[in-house]
Amino acid sequence: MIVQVSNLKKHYKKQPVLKGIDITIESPQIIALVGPNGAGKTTLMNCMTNLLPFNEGSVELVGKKNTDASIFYEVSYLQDNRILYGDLTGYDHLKFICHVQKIPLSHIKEVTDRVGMTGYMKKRVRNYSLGMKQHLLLAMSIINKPKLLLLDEPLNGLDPTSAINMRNILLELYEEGTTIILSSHNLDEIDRLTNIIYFMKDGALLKESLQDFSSNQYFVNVDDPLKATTVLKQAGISCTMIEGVISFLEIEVILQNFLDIMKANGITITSIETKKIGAERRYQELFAKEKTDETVAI
Amino acid sequence: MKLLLFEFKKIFFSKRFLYIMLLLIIGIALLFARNVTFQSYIEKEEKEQIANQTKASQANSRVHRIALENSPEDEEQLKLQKMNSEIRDQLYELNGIASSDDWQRKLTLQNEIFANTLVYKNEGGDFPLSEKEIHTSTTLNEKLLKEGIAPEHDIYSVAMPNFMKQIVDLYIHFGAFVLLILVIGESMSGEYENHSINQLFTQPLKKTWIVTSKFWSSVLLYVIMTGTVLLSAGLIGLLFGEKGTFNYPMLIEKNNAIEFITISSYMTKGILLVSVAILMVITLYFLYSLLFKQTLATLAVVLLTLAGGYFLSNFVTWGPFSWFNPFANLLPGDMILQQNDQMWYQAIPITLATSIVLYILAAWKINTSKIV
Repeated sequence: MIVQVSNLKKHYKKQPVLKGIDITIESPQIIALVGPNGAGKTTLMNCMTNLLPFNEGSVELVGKKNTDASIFYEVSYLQDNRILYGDLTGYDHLKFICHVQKIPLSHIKEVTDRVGMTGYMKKRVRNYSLGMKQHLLLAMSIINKPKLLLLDEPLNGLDPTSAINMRNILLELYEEGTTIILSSHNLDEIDRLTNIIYFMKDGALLKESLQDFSSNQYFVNVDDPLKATTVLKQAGISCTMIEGVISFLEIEVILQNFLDIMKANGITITSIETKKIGAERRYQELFAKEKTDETVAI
Repeated sequence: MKLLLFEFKKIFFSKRFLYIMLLLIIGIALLFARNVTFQSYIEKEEKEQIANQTKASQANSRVHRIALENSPEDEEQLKLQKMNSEIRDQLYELNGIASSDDWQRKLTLQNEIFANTLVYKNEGGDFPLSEKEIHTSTTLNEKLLKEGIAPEHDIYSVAMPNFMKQIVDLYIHFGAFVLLILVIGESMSGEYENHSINQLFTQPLKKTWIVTSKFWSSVLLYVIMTGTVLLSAGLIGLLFGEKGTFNYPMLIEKNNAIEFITISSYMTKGILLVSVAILMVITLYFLYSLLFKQTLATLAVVLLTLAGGYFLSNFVTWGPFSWFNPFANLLPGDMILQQNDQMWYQAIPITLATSIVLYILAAWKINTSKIV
């Protein structure tokens, strides 16, 4: 068993923060924790790693109780960059982890090359940018090749290249057998990483497979957008046009039907782009209504 | 051991520690520069003292003359006048050799003046020197003459051992505590405030090790700080000061009698006592850090506790109380110089025992500690 969280309940004073969370993970997978700010994502991870106490329930990670510090030989937790020491270098941080976890120091070069921070690992952390700190945090989290990797907002402060690099590293780790639980607000990246999303809402967990919600949105450029709009309307096809680009959802319009209509009316398609929108769509379904209700109430 | 090095590096490589060490060295150099500047003042001060005593003697002379004009046969007044004249002549002579390097002659003459003054006072004469002052000064002069050691000014000496003693005095009287608190001020509570403790809590470490390594790294930093203080003072004194001797005598009171210890003995005992007190302050600081998890609150409570202990030590003067007072070593100078009904090392066991108890409490506390 990699993760066994049973009926985890936590409250601050009388305010419930986690309302009986259950998570069971038996084989390696990538799980995204998604929810608005204050939904309890970080609290859940902190409780799982014994940084915060909880009121009810139990947590076992890699087959051991979460109060057993030895779990951190196999579990890593990427937290926010406040955990770094500004007066020390990135190398000092990694060396410390190697010493504590009995990892050969030769792994440092290996991991910094992988993350792309070898060039500045001997600089003091106080001189690092946000992205550089994020690289260091990632290097610190993966240097022990963990069985379970928890990541709290790992994409914060990363430029597109670094974000792609991080995504690739996470996918590689997953292929190597690491279970990854990450929280993020970047729904596009989540779509690219995993189909398994745990939506957190008011301290409760809604586990969903995006395979049920995963969908493509098409963006089509044609030689005569006005004519295209007219014929699509006549055919009763629902789509939108923004700056000459026609867009529609895979679940609402069958692509082949669209292509047939275009061909029949002599409209030439110049390009088609596809975007996966499962996480975002489901997120909007779950949380947008609430936001609208709140707005109405205001 | 690895955690200890990590903890040590966190503070040792911080800008704050660097600045504190630099300021410490600059402060010591400035104090030496002040002593050098005030060298001419020493002779001036000496002459002023002689002048004051001479004036007192001249005033006494007038009093005796008037008394004798009224009753010329008053034998007591005649005797006092004669003794006063002798003192005055000796003061004139002392004033004459004040600028000379013949310190043995000066000390001998001073002691003769003290002896005559004591007799004069015993015979009913008045002189602005107390018997205690006369006794201690005479004893010290005799000791210096016997040992063949030239006298040094208490405050403005540029002799290396005496200058070091001056610095050690400042260091053991609150200097070490203030510097230590500045250096390790955020060592534990800052980790909670910055959330960096999370990094340690998510490593396969026993939480007790965190307290242990922080404790020993603080001790190591204190040793470095003390070494820096002693080395800087010694080096500056050696390069720019006079040779002097570490056997320079210091007066202490032991069971209401005057005894001597050497400067080196005073410094060794002083540093030993303050080091024992520092162990207690470190453990006290860690325990409060874990209770409050906030630097300012922790510092305030540590300072309040130490101030309370300081006033308790000052308030209760009963000698045996030191056996039970862990704060007695906050005043190491008093413990060494005033050994009436107590020994200088008397409070060491209770201070060490208190440190161990505080350490155990801190180790227990961190085991149940969560992030804020």
